[in-house]
Amino acid sequence: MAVVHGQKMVFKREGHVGRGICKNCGHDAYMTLCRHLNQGTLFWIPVVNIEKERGIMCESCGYIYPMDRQEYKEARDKVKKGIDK
Amino acid sequence: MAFFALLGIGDSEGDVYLLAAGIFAFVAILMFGTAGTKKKRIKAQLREMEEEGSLQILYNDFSYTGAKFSKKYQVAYGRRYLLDFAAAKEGFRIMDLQEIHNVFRCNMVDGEPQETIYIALETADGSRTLVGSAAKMTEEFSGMIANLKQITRLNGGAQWQ
Repeated sequence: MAVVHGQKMVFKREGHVGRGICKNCGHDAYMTLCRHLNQGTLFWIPVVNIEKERGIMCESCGYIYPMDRQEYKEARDKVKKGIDK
Repeated sequence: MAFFALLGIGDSEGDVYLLAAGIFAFVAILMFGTAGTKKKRIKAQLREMEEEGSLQILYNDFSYTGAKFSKKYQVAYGRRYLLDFAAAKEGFRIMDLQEIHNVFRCNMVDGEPQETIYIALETADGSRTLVGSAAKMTEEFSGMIANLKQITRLNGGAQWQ
C-alpha cells in the first residue's frame, strides 16, 4: 500500500497584539502572534508540527520578532482572553 | 564580429563606448547563465536599449568598483540602477534607485507570509517591488540589503535601521 506523506510550511496566526512601528520595514502595522510550523502530513492530513520559530509578526513585512516559549504562551493566553471578552 | 556589426561598430567616433556597452551586455548574459527563451529576451532587450542609447547610461552606472552582481539572487545594482533578472516575461527589469525610499527584507506577499524572503524596494508613495528571492537569510543577501539601504539613505530615503 502506498503511504502518501509530505510536509508543508505553515504560518499560524493566533491573534493581533496591537499596532506598532516595525524595526525592519519602518511601517506602522498590525503585529500578530504567529508560529512558523513545519507540518508533516500523512495522506495530506497534518500529523506532526515542528515549530521553526514563534513570535510577533509584522503584518507589513512578515518579519517575526522571536519570543521564548513561556513568553509566547503568556501572550497567547492574553490574546485568547481578549477575544473571549 | 557579427555582434559588433549589429551594434554598428566602426561607423562613428563613439565606437569605444559602443564596444564597452557590447562587452557589458555580453558579460551580463554570461553572468546570469540563462538559457533558451529568456536569454533571447535579454539579448533582444539589450539590443533595443543599445539602439535607443540607454545602455550606455547603465554601463556608466555599473562601471564603478562598488557595483554588485549576484548570480544566485539574479540581481545586479550600481549606484543608481538595479537590474532584476528574475522577471521572466520582460527579460530583465530596470529600477531607478533614486526613486526608492525604503529597502527591507520581506516575506509578505499579498498579505500572506511566505517561506521565501525577498528584498522589498518601496517608493515614497508606498508602492512595493520584491526582488532577489532567497530560501533563507545569508551573508550575501544581508549584505545586499545593507548596501541598498545605504544607497537609498544617500538618496534621501528612509533613515531607520
